[in-house]
Amino acid sequence: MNTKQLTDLIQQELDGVLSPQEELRLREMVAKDAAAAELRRNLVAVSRTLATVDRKEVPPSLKPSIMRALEARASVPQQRGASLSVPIASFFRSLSPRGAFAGGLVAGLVLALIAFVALVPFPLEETDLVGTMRLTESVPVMTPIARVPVMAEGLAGSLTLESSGKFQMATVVLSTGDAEHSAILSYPADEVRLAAVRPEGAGSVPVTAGGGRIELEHQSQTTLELFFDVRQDASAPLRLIVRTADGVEHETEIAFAPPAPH
Amino acid sequence: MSEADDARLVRETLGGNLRAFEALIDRYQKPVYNVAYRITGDAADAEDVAQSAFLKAFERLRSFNPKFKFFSWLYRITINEALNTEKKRHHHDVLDESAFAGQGTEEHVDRDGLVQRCIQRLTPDYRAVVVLRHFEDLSYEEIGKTLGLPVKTVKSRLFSARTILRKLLTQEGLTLE
Repeated sequence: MNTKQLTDLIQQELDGVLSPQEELRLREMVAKDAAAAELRRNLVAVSRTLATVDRKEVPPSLKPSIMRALEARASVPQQRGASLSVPIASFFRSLSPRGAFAGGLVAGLVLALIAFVALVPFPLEETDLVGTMRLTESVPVMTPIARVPVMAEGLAGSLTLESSGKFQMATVVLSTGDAEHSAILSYPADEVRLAAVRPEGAGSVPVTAGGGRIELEHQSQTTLELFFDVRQDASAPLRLIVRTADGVEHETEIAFAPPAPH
Repeated sequence: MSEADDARLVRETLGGNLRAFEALIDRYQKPVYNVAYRITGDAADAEDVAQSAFLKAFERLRSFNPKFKFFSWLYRITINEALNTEKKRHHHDVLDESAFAGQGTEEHVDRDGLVQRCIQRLTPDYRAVVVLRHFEDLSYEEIGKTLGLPVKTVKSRLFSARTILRKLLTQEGLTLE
């Protein structure tokens, strides 16, 4: 008895895809072999038993609960498709001039962190990466605002973060010339996997928001640092796009108050 | 329900029409709930899983590739959700022998419970193929696309699952038809 052929034929019979020739062949096999006949009987019995099981009725509360959740999301535009949980725009708007000092302090700490990260081995495994880390070509990270080349286009840069790592937090640092402002973004831990940063369309699309750079620190919670140099007169919001492992793009806008003139 | 209709509803949802997604819920809530129930073996869990699956599908709709069937994609999300839920709650480890007792006095109710208990005892890999084949009537190809498996693997898992199920059902004292 060819077991593989027998099981294939029985399964095809159970699943209703047996041709007349195959049916004939199966009948011959089970007629000649008691073990084959028993196997067929058993599998047919299982299939029939499963067929007798009732389908469950859907609880009436299911659809209304889904719709309520969807409508609640739809009524909060900034949460649409975005898992970022910190109201970034209001955070930056709320910074007072004194915040500049705090921002400077933060910037110092960030620089120290960069130096630290630069000295330690890259913490993620190569296999975690889906891309390579790239910088925009023209604007150095942390360049003071006065030295950022002025671009002709408005501030509408976007940064696409390819996913793969195991990130739960991100600190976004914006430099507005007189200070560095930071905010922590948090993500659902099991949804965001990020390992590389790619300023989208650099060179062809005006990435006038300046340079983007990523620094990674892999601890119990991995921290992602994003640095943006921004134009002094920029008023358009910066779009931050996080693409998670499932391919979904989460988008948020980062608005900020232009720095006070010197 | 046609694939073209699904694709249209997906497009309309992406265009901001929430009612289009509601139509997708209407179409698929029963199979999604039943898949969730057969995987988790618990009505309350199944409702949570079904809700979560639809919400995730909505959130991830932009990543849905219209080249594929919407229901395969949705089933995949549902099965992952159901298996995660079940894993978290360790149902398969703590299945109480009395879990299915008292569900009804009619013969078919007891039988349903016993069959479900046997399904629960299958490994997740086997359970998924059994549920999609026997409860959702998916073809080998559709199961393969849903679970990301070659058809050959679907067939072999289905054969093993059916063989194990037969033993389990017999152990439970069920008279097989």
